[in-house]
Amino acid sequence: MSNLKLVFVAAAALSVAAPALAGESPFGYVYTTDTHPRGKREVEQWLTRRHAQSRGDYDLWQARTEFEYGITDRLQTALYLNYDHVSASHNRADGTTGPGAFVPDAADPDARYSRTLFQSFSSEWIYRPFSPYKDPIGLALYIEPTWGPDQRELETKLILQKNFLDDRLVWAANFTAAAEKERFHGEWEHEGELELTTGLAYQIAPRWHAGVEYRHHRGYAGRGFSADKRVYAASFLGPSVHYAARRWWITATFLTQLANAKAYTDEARADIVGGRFYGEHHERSELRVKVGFEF
Amino acid sequence: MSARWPAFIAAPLAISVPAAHATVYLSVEQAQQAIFPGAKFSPLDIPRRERVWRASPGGWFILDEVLGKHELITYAVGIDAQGRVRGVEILEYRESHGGEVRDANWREQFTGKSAADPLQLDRDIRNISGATLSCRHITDGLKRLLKLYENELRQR
Repeated sequence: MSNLKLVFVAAAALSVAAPALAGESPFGYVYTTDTHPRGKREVEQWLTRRHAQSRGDYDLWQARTEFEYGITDRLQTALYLNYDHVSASHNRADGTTGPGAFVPDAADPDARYSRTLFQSFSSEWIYRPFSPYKDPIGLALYIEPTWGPDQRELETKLILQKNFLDDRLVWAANFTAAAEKERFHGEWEHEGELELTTGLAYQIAPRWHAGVEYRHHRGYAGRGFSADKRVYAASFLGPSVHYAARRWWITATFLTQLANAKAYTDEARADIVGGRFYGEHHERSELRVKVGFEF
Repeated sequence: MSARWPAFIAAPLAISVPAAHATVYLSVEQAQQAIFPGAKFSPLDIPRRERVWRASPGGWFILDEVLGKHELITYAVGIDAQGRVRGVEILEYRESHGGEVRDANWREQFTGKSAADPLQLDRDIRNISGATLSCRHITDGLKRLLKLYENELRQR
């Protein structure tokens, strides 16, 4: 095991060894408006497996280790450590290995490429003006700057939540806009992303939620979100399950890409196979598992 | 471990999972005596999920459950002969958060309330930050029990 992997294992294990809740979501991708009460702390470990591109083998494991803290009953902050592992072999539509967002241009097109790397730090802030438990609809505002050696990003979200049936049925939706700067070949390139995620979860038994999530993702080249800067649009759909114990919880969501992707540039069109988009870190399916511990 | 399965996916396995458990604070008999000291109780057979007892000096004792965030909260209310809340007791609480609803000052707000009162969080019932779901569900539950008294018990 490499030193880098050892560091990841140690960081992740230490982060979760503390006793274990709040701010938890029955969804893997969709944020709810729940925030921690003042002074409450939580550690979350995320792991997302992004599996299969147009051909060959492709697995991207994305991990996030997060520390959350309730500053007030309405304001929550969090610090994330983001790290990844990619393994790719002949994954591109033309039968070569890479390149892509996680496989560099220098990778041998005829060989398997594997790498574990630190990606970035993120600082998350969520303010909740309206609670779904006391107001007609819950509303929260989210902002998350990210910094990494080859990446800068500012992500903003509008989070809505409405509960039904004595809070047993939870609906939430997120509208996300992100401005991103990534370094390719030593040059910084600007990109933008718009995303709608929405989900519905029902408490099927004490501690257990089962639900469904939908994600629609659009990519833009350069700064701004005008129609002439559109590059692609892709959608994902799948089930989620959530279990909450007294001081910890776990959520798993499996999303599969729908065969309705759209491309707006020649380069993006080449990345659509069977109606699915495989460029710009998009895969056939995603499995996300999140574990949260309160302390 | 093969190159396709990174070492850090094993990290969640290092978690030592704390055991969940229910905390029983009062038995039904203890809750009855806390609200109606020295009284005798006779159960009433009604086709509802709530369990109802008639208290010997006049009044009713109703046992009920509401959902907290994930688990059921077992609570009871005593209603006097005039249809006003005499006391509220939490018998079992099973969650890590929101246990502040056991606080006597919070429960005391319900004393004297009747079915004519709004019983609404942040209106005539104070919320507890960090325990909003438990506060709301108990408040909604008590409103339902006062309507049960009004519609089914008052004329008995």
